[in-house]
Amino acid sequence: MKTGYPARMAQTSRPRAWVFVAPWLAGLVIFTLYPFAASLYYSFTDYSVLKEPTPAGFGNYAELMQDEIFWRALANSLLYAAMALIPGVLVALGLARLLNAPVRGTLLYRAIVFVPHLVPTVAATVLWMWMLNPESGLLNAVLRPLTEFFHYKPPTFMNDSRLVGLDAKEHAVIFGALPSLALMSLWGCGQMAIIYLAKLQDIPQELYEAAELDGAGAWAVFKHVELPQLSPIILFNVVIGIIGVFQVFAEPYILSNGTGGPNYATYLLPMFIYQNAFEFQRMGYACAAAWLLFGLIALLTALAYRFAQKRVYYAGG
Amino acid sequence: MKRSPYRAIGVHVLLLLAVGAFLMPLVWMVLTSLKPKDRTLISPPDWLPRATMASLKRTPDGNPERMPVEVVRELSEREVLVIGGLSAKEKPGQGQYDGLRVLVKAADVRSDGKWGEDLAPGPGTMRMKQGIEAELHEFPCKIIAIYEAPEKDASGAPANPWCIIREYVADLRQTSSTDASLAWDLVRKADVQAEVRALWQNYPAALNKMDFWSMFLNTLWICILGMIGTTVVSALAAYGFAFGTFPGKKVAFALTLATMMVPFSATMVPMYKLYREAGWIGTFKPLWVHCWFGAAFNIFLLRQFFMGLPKDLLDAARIDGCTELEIFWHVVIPLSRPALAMVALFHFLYAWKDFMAPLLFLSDKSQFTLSLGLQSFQSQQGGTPWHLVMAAAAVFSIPLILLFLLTMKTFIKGIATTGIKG
Repeated sequence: MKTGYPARMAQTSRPRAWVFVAPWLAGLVIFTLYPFAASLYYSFTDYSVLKEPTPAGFGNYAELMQDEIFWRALANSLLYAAMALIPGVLVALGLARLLNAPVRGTLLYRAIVFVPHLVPTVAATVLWMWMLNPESGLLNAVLRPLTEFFHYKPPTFMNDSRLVGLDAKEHAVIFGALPSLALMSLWGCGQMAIIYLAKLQDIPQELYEAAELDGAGAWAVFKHVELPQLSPIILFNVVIGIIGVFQVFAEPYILSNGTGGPNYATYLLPMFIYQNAFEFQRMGYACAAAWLLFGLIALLTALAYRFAQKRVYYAGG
Repeated sequence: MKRSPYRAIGVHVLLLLAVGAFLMPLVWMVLTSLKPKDRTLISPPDWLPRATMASLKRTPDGNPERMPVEVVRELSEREVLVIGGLSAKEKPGQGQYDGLRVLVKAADVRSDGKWGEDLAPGPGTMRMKQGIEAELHEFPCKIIAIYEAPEKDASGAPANPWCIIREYVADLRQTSSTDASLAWDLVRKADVQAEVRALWQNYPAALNKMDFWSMFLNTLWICILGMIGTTVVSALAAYGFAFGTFPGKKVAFALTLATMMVPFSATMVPMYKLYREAGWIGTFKPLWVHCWFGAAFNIFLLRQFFMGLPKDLLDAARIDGCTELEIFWHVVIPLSRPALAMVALFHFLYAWKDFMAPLLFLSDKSQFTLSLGLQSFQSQQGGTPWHLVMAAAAVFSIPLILLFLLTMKTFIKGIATTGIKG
């Protein structure tokens, strides 16, 4: 088909390409924008699947502010985010540096570190449930001789609603349900490590050589060469991590058999929203909580960008 | 940098430790899946799978083989036992049941296979667990043994007592406890030993029990349908965003990126309502139809890739009179195979692992995906048959790991670019 455009025009003008985007735009409206807006509307109503929504003003939000379980879920989510994300980023960084070492078999090592990310969430969770079994699990098989050497009882993981510490009265090591959940998420940090690794391998050799000329030690090289180069990727991983960590649902749901227990210790915001919507049939209430969750994610993402603004180094702008 | 040999060794040791820590849970999963149930729950646990082994005749006229068995119980009191055999030829051999008084009653079985006389005979009482007793009555045996009071050793404990052993079955609840097809016998306790041995029969038992293959097909179907849809439609949209010149493109693309921040919780209630009104709850449709409208992340990745293609080729095709669709299909797609493969793989991975959406939108067990199936299998069993749960979890993970090993380059490159370009 002759378009009749001169060659110069063809380079820039492709007005008909909007047709290609049309299905996606339709999908964006149907599957994201409409439900997103509708849930904002429902958050101001009383609504269950069975009857139509009736306006409730700010009632749901006011009730949330008074709801102890909501505050517990929010606190748990924030704690979990800190316990999963910060060690995750650090371990992934360390791992990436190790995997970048010029030794034999790195391809195999990289594959092994990445494989846990491929284990389906439910399979990984039942596996960890078994690993964390206080009597016959792998973790305590390793820990028990250690703790017993100091005359302490090993931790009981998912049976304990406390966090981390030592119980002087019971002579027991405390490592509770929420930290166990975070420990499990650490197992999947190989994916992040692979992303860091790719960037590490991208760092120009001249930078290392210049550092060597200046007599920089290993730590100085890391701090002044690798870290600045990695900083945009760290920001990316933190942002992706924030979005992901506040949506964690399957792991605590399965580990606690759908209760968020013991004693609400693993009750995170997505489970609060799920339970209210689909178990208690309080969909308006659930939508209000979901919008607060979205606000929290947006706020933390914005904070991460702000914090990073002066600290992230972009090579070549 | 100076690299001393000690430093290299240190790095290697650290590397091995780290890799070991990542690998250990998977090794533990496989090791557990090969153990018998009773040996999974001991503390401290065995590292290697050990099975309880003893000599047992699988069929009445067969030779005894050493095989995995389950110790039903130890004999501790005086009791009467029927020790098997279908014909008179099958008398216990010399020394086989030393210490038991063995009687052969050839006339005890009638032609219809039922017992000809009451089996609670003279000396001693019938003291057997319900399951075993029932099993014996179904089993047309002729040989009766009488177990006398156990011999004691110096400390007064029973010396090397007899025990009832039964052929190992991975999941006993699947076969009824009165199943006469299970071989069993009496042996001395000292002849029963734990040996390192992998019980591969746990795998078929686990898969049958959880109805694995129908769930596997459900999952595969949902993954493939969604994968084709999201790859094709995301590629189209990415083409539009990469090369199109239409008003509102920038806004639409920014909106596309921004929606990646919206949590599923904030859209799931209206989605549920929508699907309910469409009559889609309890069908696969909520799990794949939306993929045929593309996905923000995939569009973003593909657009990045398309922007890196040589523009001259596109323009040349344009001047040659190709329509946009022809350029897309004949120029862009063939050049973008690695990126498309990456998007397809990522979707497959995501859909194979997904738990929350199937939990919301599927109701009937026949439609369960493997995620739902494994979760309900685990919670219904109360978590005790860990050997079976681990076997099912391992088979559930294998397709993704295989897929990864086959496409490792695309995969690693894809993961790396998601980060770098971001």
